[in-house]
Formats: sequence, C-alpha cells, structure tokens
Amino acid sequence: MFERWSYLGYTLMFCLPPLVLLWLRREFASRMARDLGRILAASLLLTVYGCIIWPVALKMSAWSYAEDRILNIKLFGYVHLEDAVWWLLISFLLASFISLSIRFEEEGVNIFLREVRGLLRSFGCALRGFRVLRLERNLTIHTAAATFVFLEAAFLKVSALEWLALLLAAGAVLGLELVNSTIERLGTRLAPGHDEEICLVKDAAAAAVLCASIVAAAVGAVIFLPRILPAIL
Amino acid sequence: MYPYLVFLLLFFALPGLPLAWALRKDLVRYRKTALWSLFFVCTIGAVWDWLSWKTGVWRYDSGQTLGPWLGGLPAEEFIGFYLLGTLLIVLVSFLFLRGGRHV
Repeated sequence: MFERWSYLGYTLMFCLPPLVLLWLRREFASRMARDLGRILAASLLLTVYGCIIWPVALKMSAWSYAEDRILNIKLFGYVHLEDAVWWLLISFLLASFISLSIRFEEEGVNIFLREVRGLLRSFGCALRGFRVLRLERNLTIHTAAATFVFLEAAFLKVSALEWLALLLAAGAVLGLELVNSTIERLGTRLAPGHDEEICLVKDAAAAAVLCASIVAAAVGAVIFLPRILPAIL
Repeated sequence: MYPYLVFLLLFFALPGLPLAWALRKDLVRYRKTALWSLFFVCTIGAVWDWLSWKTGVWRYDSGQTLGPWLGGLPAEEFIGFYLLGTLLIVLVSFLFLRGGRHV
C-alpha cells in the first residue's frame, strides 16, 4: 500500500492513534505525566535492546524484509530505521498504557469497564435522541426525502462516488436538522416569550439547515437528472 | 534449526523469565494490566502483523519454523513474539514504573 514506506507507514498507522488516545485525554495524560521519566527510560532501554537483537534475528533468518517495502536506511550501519522506530513506539505505547493501568488499578477503578460502560451509555443516549425524529415535522420530511433518494439511487445503480456524495449530503441535512431541533426546543424553553437574541439564534440554525438542503438538492439534481430526464423527455 | 524459535527463547524468554520471577508479586498484583496489554497486542497487534505479512513487508521461511501456521503467521509468532515479547516489555515497564517495590 505504501510501497517503500510500508513498514514505517504501518508502524505509524498502528502506534500513533492509540498514543493520541492515551495522551490527548487530560484525565489519562495527567496520570501518565507523573511517570513520564520512568516511561521514557523503560522505552529507551527496550529500544536499545530491540535495536541490538533485531539485526541478529535477521542474520539468523528468523524472518526477512522485502527490499521494496522498507526504506533501506540503516542507523549506525546496523539496524533498520523502521525497526528502531517500531521498538521506540511500541515500547512507549505499552509503557504509557501500563503506567495508566497501574494507576487506575491502585485507585480501585476498573478503567476498561468504566470506559466501555461510558461508551455504551453515550451510544444509548444518542440512539434515544433519534426519538426527536417523530416529534419534529421538518425532520420527518427530511427523513422521508432521504429514504426516497436512497431508494432511487439503489434502483438507478449510481456509482460508489455518487453514493458517497448522496450519503454526505443527506447526513449533513439530517444532522443539522437534529441540531436545529435541539436549538429550537432549548430556545423555546429558555425564552417562552419573544426574545430577539434567541430568535436570531433559532433563525441562524434554521438557515444552516436550509444551506445544507440546497446543497443536497443540487447534489441530487446532478446525479439523478441526467438519468431521469432522457426517460421523461 | 528453527532459528525463529531459538531467537525468541534466547532474547525474550531468557531475560524475561528471571525478570518474571523477580517481579512475580507485581505481576500477580497487576495481572489485569498485564492481561490487558496481552489482549491489545493479540488483537490490534495481530491485525498489524497479518497486514504486514500479507502485503509482503516481512516473510517467514516455512522450512525453518515449527510447523503450525495460523493465517499465514507461524506458531512462534503467537507463542514467542506475542506472549514472551509482550511479557518482556510489560516486565521492563513494571521494573521502571514500580521500581521492584514488591520484590
């Protein structure tokens, strides 16, 4: 997939997202930061060890690399650059994770169960939020329109790119309509009478839906009209 | 003779097992951490490993491995690399993070 960058590409692709996940969140980062020196020391030791033993494995023919899938840059003329990066990232990732997990274990918190439960709860709330679909007129209209568009696209066998455009357009309209409904309800609850500022906020939210709807209609026209018009005319 | 197995035993098991014995109290106390590390390596790491093998980044000499293969990866990869390799990283991390406090 990445040709000569394959090894490095996969290493970065699989190591950096979990590192972002661990270090971006303040709750996690603040705990791991207390061990940062020790995490770095462990990572460096493991990296040096890995850089010494990996070329030995290659010499022993434990495995081999494809010449066209690696950069062929050797640090100190001994170890492949990718191997060093692999060891550094893997060690840092696992040491960070272990530091975090130990901290939570000591606090008596089962962090994985807590996170999974939190995620499921968020999904549950989001799914329950769809009940607005049945309460708002405009949302039901947009949902019906999206159903029509998707059925038409299926019957007309539109291409993958066209599907992508339709899904993005419909998703934007429905998503913005949900936000608009929320703002409408919140505004009405906050200011039951007439309030100029609230009115402006509600109008702006409605305008955002209109913008997305116009773009969605244009996308639909570009995709469907060339197929439908010749059959009608 | 099975160079991959010899390599894993020599460089992962040999330093890992005495370290595991020395840090056994930490290993028992924080077994959930060790098991979760193993779980992530065996799931996300396995996908990565398989993808790299499938796209030809690295390859194994079938004549020089133990025999059983799973999804294109030799048995040594699972027993030695995932288990012993992860254990070694976990133990070195324990050593630095816990400073052998329970030894």
